[in-house]
Amino acid sequence: MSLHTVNKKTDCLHRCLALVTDKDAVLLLEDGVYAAVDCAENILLWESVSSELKIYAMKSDLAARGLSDKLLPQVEIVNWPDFVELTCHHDKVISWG
Amino acid sequence: MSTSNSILIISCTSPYANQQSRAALDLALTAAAFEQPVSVVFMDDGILQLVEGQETSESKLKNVGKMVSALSIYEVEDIYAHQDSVDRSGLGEKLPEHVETIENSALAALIDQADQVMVF
Repeated sequence: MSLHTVNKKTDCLHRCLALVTDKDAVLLLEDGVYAAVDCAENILLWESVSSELKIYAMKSDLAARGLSDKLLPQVEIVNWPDFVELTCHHDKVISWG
Repeated sequence: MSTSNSILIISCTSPYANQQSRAALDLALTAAAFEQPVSVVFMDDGILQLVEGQETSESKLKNVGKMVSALSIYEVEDIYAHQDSVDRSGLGEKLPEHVETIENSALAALIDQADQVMVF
């Protein structure tokens, strides 16, 4: 069970999603939170992954970018202490950029 | 020192765009020098590092192709090229024969098994 972090707005997330498994979690940080926005492109992006995959987005990064209220339903908002908890509960953390 | 830490390195950047490709290879060679089990996967633009015949004498760049060849000298044998990335690049024939291709599901398994995964 790995925690995958994505902090950029480029192809890093596509690469990550090609390789995640059901038991993993993805944490969107910094510019990675743009992938949490409820829009056609993102709906398509997340369609290819299992519904078991947990998707988290960092609260302060969403707020900084003015995105707090237009998110996909499957995204759970987390804060820094939650981030620490997530790293403790997964076998390893993989940073995709 | 008997604790070993298996490291999977996923290298996704083209060889001469920035320092990332060299940083990944430096890490692989260093870990191998310290006898840590290392595997390297070249993915997306990373497979461009595998293209044979890189000639950097005129451009004064540090030759990444030569660093890739050094992997086997340092006994890093588990070197893979991501299948989809190879297919998309159209460069299949220009890649060295000793590099195996790897599909998504097998790569996901490698990721799961490794103690650490670092993406460049």
